[in-house]
Amino acid sequence: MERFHHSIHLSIGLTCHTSGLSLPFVGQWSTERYRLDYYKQAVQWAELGCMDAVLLDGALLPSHLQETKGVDPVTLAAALTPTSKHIGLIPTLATAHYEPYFIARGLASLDHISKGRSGWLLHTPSLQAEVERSGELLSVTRKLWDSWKDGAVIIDKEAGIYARPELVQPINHHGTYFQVKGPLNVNRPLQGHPVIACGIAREEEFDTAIKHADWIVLHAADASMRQAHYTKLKQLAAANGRDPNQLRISQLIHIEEINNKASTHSMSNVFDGPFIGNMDNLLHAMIHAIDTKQADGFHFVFDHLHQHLPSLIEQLIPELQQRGLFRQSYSGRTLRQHLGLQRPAAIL
Amino acid sequence: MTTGNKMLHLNACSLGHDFGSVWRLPFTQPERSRDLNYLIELVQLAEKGKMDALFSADFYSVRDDVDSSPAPESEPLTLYSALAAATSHIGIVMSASTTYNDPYHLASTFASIDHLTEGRTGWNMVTTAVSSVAGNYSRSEHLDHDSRYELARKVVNQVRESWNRWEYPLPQKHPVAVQAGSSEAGKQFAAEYAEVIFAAQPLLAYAQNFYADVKTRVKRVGRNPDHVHILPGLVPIIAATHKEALELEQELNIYANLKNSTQAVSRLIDVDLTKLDPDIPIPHSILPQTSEVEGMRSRSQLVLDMIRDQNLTVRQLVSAGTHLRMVGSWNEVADQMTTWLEQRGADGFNVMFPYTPGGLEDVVEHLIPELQNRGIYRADYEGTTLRSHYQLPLPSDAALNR
Repeated sequence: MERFHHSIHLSIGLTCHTSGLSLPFVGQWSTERYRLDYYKQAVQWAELGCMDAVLLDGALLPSHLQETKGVDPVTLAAALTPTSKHIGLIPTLATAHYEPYFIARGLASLDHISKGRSGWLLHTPSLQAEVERSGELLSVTRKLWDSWKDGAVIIDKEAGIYARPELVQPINHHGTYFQVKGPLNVNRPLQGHPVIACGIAREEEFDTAIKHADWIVLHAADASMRQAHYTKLKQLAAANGRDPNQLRISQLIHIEEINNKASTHSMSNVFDGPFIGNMDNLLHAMIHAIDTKQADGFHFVFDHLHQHLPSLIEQLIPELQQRGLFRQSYSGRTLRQHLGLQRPAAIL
Repeated sequence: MTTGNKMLHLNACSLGHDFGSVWRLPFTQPERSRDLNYLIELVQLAEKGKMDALFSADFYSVRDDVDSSPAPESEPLTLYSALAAATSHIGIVMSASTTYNDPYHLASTFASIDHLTEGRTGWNMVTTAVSSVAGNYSRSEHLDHDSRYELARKVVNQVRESWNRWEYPLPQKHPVAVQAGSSEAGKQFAAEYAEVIFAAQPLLAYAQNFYADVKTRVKRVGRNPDHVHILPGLVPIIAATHKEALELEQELNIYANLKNSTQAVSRLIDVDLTKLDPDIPIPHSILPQTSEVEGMRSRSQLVLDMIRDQNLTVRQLVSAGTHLRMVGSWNEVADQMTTWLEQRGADGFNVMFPYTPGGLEDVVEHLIPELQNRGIYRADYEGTTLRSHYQLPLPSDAALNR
């Protein structure tokens, strides 16, 4: 099919924390959510459906130690690596509580142990000071990822050379918020940089997102703006010197109930609020959104995860696959490859 | 003296990381040190040996010798969360600095891992001795030794209060509290807070003093000394026979760099040993009585005492390291470990494998069965939490009501 150069992109959201979300929290928070099996099953379903990634949301807290619940997304993502093989794992981080050195280490490690399946779900702050700090944090983190150049580790037993020191350099960052000498003590991530994803709801967040994100999940409340948003973001990418084809945009779909009733759901309001309807409504709304250039893919969140995710995998995904819209098996190894994103070269 | 039913506790330290120049030997696999599948094979082997816990150190800056040393390492909170998910019983002890982490981060990470592992975690509360870390963490200077311990108290209290308020209580209430510094301030902190203490004690007589000192301090603060285990680091160099073990020891030292090691130990004790003849005893006149080194003060004092006590040459000093080494047949080393347990030098050991995977295989296949035959080591896990492996109670009501 000429229209589609590659597969659409499908992902699910697992909320491991109930407060300060970058994407809306849905469903019941129960003690079940403290158990690894709860998440493991969901990831295994999503992987069975060849989905691109699981976004682990939550834990963006305004002040430390006040919120004492939930499961840390980075920890959880790491714990999910041994029981998954292909799917991307994208945790969020409460960036206010971390120095870039830790974030760079933690995510680089996650990328190594997952063999290139990691990402970072970035929070787009609203206050100007937070925007500046967050921008600097991300830029320092990228420099740290690049402080070990590709090919630095050679492990030559004969010569006794483990790494080439000329390819391991300090970053000497002196900024407004951070002073970081470097280099990092973890090798460059397999993907170069983990995939940076970002959930946004308002136009004011576009500028920040376009500077940093490889992948944007839109959850615009305003239906009429949806197509405009997609087009505007791609234009903004070009205006910022980026290749618009290297930016992925997904629409959020909040699944409240999937039933067999004949429904009057219109194509556009699938994305507007909690979706209640049959699989056909959903399928055609998604195809319509692709055809009318509203999205490169879809991100699902669920009220009843373990009930509705299997339905999507068993009923919706085969339909998309038959139409040639979605991959039938994983062709790439890394998350960047699933998303059709290039591996970034190291900044010198 | 008999041990009664006193049981030996064993941790597997830094699996997959070969210390020093050992990575160059043909039977190591440094290229797999970041391969999760390889590390899972290792930790599952440690679990087959019914070891109490995996133990990971942590570093917040790059090593000086990236050219010749197996670095960089994975970040342990991330790596060990993955390893925990690939095991079912063995405990997971992770080091995390009270100086360079936000209490929010520490509380939420350890609460999460304790939940996800259903009660198998421990926190090694380190204060970070390496001063170069400050430059990576936006700090103008590294805190001095005593200030770091003052801060550690504050941070640990905050973290515990946060766990006490957790919406759904942690399976172990608090992850097992582990500590690893043996300076005066370190020992006092350990007596007040720690349930497991990791120490560098290469000499039985010194270890006995340390053991008695810490247990007395524990009693003095009103805690039960049986609920605090002291686990010195142990490098077991073992083989079927004594002779083969000696040959293995020699082989492990083939690539040791006398110059680099001498520089490292000179830095540690702040005395230049590089100009001395490596084969004559180090003159005691050049050594300070008491170490004034900021950072690793307890390690530095120990090395000074070792040199004086054993009249060591530079070569002997650098090949011994600062951790206990036991070289011999499986049977002999099991006997030595029993002696340390009976004579109150240790409640167990933090085992640092001289090389992997073979050094771990030998421990699990040969040394541990010897310990089991002596009735001082479990035949199987009796519970599923780290507290049950260590035979530690839940935290006191007082600690839980803070």
